[in-house]
Amino acid sequence: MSPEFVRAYREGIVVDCKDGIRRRIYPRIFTYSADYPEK
Amino acid sequence: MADPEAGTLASTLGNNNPSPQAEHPSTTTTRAGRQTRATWKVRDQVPEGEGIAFDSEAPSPPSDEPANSSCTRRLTLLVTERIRTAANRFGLSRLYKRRPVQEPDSSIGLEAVYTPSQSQRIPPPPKRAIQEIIAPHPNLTTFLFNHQFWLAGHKKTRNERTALRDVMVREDFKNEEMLGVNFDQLDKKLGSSTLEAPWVRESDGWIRESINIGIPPLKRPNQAERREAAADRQRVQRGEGLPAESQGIGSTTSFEGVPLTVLDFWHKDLCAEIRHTFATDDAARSFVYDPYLLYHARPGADDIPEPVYSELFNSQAIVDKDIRIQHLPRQPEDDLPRAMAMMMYHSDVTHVTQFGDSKVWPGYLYFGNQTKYESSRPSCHAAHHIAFFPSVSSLRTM
Repeated sequence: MSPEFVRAYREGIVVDCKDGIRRRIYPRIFTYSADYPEK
Repeated sequence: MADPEAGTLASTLGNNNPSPQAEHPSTTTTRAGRQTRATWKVRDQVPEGEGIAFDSEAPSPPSDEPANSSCTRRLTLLVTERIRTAANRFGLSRLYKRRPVQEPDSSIGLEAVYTPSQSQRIPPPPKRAIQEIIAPHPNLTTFLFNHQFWLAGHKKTRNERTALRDVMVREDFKNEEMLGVNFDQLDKKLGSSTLEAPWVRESDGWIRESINIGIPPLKRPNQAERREAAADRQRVQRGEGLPAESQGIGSTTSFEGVPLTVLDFWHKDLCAEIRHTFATDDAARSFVYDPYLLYHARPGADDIPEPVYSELFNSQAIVDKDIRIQHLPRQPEDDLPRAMAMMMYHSDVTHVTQFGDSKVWPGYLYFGNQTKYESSRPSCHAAHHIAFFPSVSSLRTM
């Protein structure tokens, strides 16, 4: 969790999105899936 | 109603016996050269998006919904609207809790979603500095010379002579650069495994860091520790704290348990990855920035619509989080529309060779803004490789 990510989490990152609209993007973590080692 | 498929597939509507020889408008050629056609279900009933047009009746007045924070003293009022789109032919309709910035379905070609797609353009491999490519050779001349020596074949041939001549007359082949080069030492370095793994190069945005993690102790937590853990969980729930239990990514501020320093943790900067994907990736054109809830009511019948769950951005949790984001404090001159980058992480262990035991543990990032039909397609290259987790057994020596 770098300080930059923490700031992005709180304030968002301004990105010119591919569909042409400039947005403030807020990263939010939703899922985490992992595999158990066998045996 | 703007129906993007109407023009191309209109000829098949009502036609229940298409002749197999006829060139169908939805026929596409796969990368292997096969001709594929959409299935009969798609040809017969044109797929229709749920959000083609907004409901003609005026949206219900904005309602105030109290936020669901049970343990705080303050109460946040979140203003939401309820905007419902008209039901499509199958009875599906969308419910937005705020006015969407993006016109629903105006940019998504539904035909592309349901029919087998052409292979996506693979991004070209990133350019590397020459020093990286020819490592551990000290200069280009040495590299060319050694390359020609080792890869020319074990029998002397006339082609080999021509190839050697071609190498030596190159403009960047300077004899003096080879003075003092110990080729035996060079060969030893080439054969050893101390070279940097090619998949973790710093020029690609990989960062090597050492992090501190806490390994949970073996003893069971007592009452005080359990209360603290519950308080931590509530902090995360309210969006104030940050999850620190993801494997390998430890919080550097405070942790419980036996401290352990993991050296050489290779990962990519998440913010840079988000910026890069949303701005330049072709897939970002079909990202959903305005999450909504799906409802289904039988067309023609008078049922109460029941909720339908299809994508990550159709879930109640996402819609709620989105409303909260819209209500975060705003800077005075900031009127940019806000969206959420829904990050989904996955990690797994993979064997790198077909034999032997060497394994790596990569971590991947998917974006929930992408429809699952795209992210499950290998040709769409939806997974972003962002980390390598070192395995615990390799840390035991520390």
